[in-house]
Amino acid sequence: MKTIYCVLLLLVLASCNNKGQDTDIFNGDIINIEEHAPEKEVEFKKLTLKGLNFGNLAIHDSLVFFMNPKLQSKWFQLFNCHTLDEMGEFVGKGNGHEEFIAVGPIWNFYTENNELKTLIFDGNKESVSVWNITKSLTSKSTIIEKEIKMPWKKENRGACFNELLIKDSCTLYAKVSATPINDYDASLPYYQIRDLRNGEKISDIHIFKKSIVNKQTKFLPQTFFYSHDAMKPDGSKIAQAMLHVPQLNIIDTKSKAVTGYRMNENMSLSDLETSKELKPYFIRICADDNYIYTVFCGKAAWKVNEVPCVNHIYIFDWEGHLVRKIITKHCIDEIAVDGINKILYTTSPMDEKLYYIKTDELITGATL
Amino acid sequence: MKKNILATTIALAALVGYITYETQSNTQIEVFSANVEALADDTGEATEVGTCYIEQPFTSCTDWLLFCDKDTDNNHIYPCPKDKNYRGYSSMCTDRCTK
Repeated sequence: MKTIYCVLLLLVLASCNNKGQDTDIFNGDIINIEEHAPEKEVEFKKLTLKGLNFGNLAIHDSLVFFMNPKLQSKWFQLFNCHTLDEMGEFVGKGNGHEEFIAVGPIWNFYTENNELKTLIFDGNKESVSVWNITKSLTSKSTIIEKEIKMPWKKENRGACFNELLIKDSCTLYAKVSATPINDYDASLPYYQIRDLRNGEKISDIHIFKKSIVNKQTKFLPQTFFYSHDAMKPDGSKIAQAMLHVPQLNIIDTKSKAVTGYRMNENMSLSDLETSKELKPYFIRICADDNYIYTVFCGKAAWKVNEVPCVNHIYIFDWEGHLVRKIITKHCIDEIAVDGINKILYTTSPMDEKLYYIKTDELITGATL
Repeated sequence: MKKNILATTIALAALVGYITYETQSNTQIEVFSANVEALADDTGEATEVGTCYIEQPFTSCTDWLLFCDKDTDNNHIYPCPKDKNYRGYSSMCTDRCTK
């Protein structure tokens, strides 16, 4: 009789433990990292730009770009960090020639023939356009050099591109978004390597092997593997700061190897399949050739329309080591790093200031 | 003789008037009935709905999606947008829009 009870108990326990293994889910090695790092409280300096500034932030060598949906007829506003002057509005809104119905943010920049350029992606047009910023500033009008078709509706079966990371003038790493299959499952996000000369796909990089099916959570299934990504300026690596798991993935763009660096917050990839509460961990990212700067939350998810105050920046090196925990005196929204002048910038959801600090000050000096 | 003709004429006129009145009344009754039936009918045409995403002022998720009209609430839904936009969205819920 006792034997029967034991067997029954074991069977019940086994059936409860239907959680998968992280090795079945992740397409690479997972390394647990030391999450204790020197902490430092810092007060950023503030800039007041001469003009309305709002939206997605990008920085290149003292040029500040805002992808501002509030502008009347253009998509982007440019400012000079030194003079604080607005340098103009660029990239027309509309459905005409060299106009865009909607645009994504600027992810990174590249130079070609000593001219600064970036890509404008309009998901509705299914194309990226090369925006020559140097010529646009000189002529005070938007100079679009060429349009490259990226037919995601047919090629990706309806999954759009979320992030577009430019490695060089010929090579684009385009992240395909997860799309919902039903209320509790979604397709896997992954990267496509595409040739910018003709728009054709070269190959894929898969970060995950298996999707998460979860009927118990209120979160949309396409957010389970959500991450904020940034490319190392030399193009050799991509960092992914995951939203619902405290894990930083680093992708080697040459070998396509993926490595996950996991912090101990008692949350794994397979926990996404359970009724465990999902928290937002990493919510923003930017990177220079030395470090990866992430905004870390780690608390219960905020409510619809709530604006939380998040003021922790976790700094990693490109080997996945957590090197610093920064506590700021202001609430953080967007972050971007000027790798040339070594300055980290943030905006805040509480005001229209541009906050900044030298990156050396974050890494060196006294800690708590 | 003349009295008979007059009486017959009056009777005929009255009869025609009555028949006309009855016909109109019946028509009105038919129309009225049809209207009542129409009002009472609960098997009207269905409205196709789609899914739209709720834009968030501060969010941890952004993507190319169809965003709900900003005035959407518990009592009002609006036509689904034709174009996608890249914006922050609520990761916990969606809403409906009409196709």
